[in-house]
Amino acid sequence: MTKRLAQLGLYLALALILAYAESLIPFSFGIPGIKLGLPNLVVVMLLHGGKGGLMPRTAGRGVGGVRDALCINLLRIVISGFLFSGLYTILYSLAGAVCSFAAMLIGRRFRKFSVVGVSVLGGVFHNVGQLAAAVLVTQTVYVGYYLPALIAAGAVTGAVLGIAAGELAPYLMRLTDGR
Amino acid sequence: MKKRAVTVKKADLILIAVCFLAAAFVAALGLLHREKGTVAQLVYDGIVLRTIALHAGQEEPSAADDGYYLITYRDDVTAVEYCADMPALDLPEYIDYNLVSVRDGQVTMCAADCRDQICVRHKSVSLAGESIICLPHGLVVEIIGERQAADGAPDGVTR
Repeated sequence: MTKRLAQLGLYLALALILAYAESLIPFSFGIPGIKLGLPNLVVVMLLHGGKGGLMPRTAGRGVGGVRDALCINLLRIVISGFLFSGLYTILYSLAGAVCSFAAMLIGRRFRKFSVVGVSVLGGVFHNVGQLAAAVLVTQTVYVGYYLPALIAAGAVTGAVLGIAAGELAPYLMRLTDGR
Repeated sequence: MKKRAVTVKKADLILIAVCFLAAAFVAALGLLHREKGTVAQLVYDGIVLRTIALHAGQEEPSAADDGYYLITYRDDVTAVEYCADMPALDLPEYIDYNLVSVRDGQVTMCAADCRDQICVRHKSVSLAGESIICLPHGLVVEIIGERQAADGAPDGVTR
């Protein structure tokens, strides 16, 4: 139990570092909301390791699984929100993260997708969720104008992060496993 | 050659393709509806603060409302002030503001004291349906075209 706690703490720290790194990169396309989503790397990895993991090499090893991934996801949003941005950002991140997480769970259940596909689903639905939150907050439907750009961007960043997560996970799991 | 950890499955590629198709489809829908905006609306909390004409009227010559619009927020009081030239932004700290400029049908967020400055970095907007949003202040600058104006202006505003 203590070991698990320590391992999850490491993953949380990693997610926060990635969020910090991302906040340092001025990354603007004139369209708000397009981000790399680096911290999601950690969530994708956790979602795929552990019990019933998708990746053959990490399945059943170390921490991971739905509960751990959700826990780290919520914690990193709240903490990095307070550290690097503000309450508003937390609201949007939460909306995006909830959509994204649900989409990834459904995609994972499908068993047809690999890490990459699930991560693409996560990326796309993160953006869709944020846009939905923006519609609610600003009380206008015109923000739907961004939808195509956000879907495409979500697919690209999701694919990149999925590949990175898949390649990194075996090493990271081995490290945190202490083997 | 070491075995890669990631195997991209066929379903992944199909999914990515579907995403791009969906994006292209939505974009195409948007392009079909593309038209120059006739007015810009400053919307705060779902309420239209000011409607600005972007182009001079063709039948009856009336000037477009070019210039600067300074929106200030002080507690719950929101005000819009028109300035022909760039106003000096020497406001006291407790007053938040957004400065919108309108020139030749292009609407730009020139300055704002919001914390994320996303609205200021946003490109200029001119086409119907485009908008600039300042989330921290809750201000939306919407461009509205003839078609929407004909349907009754506030059809995009849900309340």
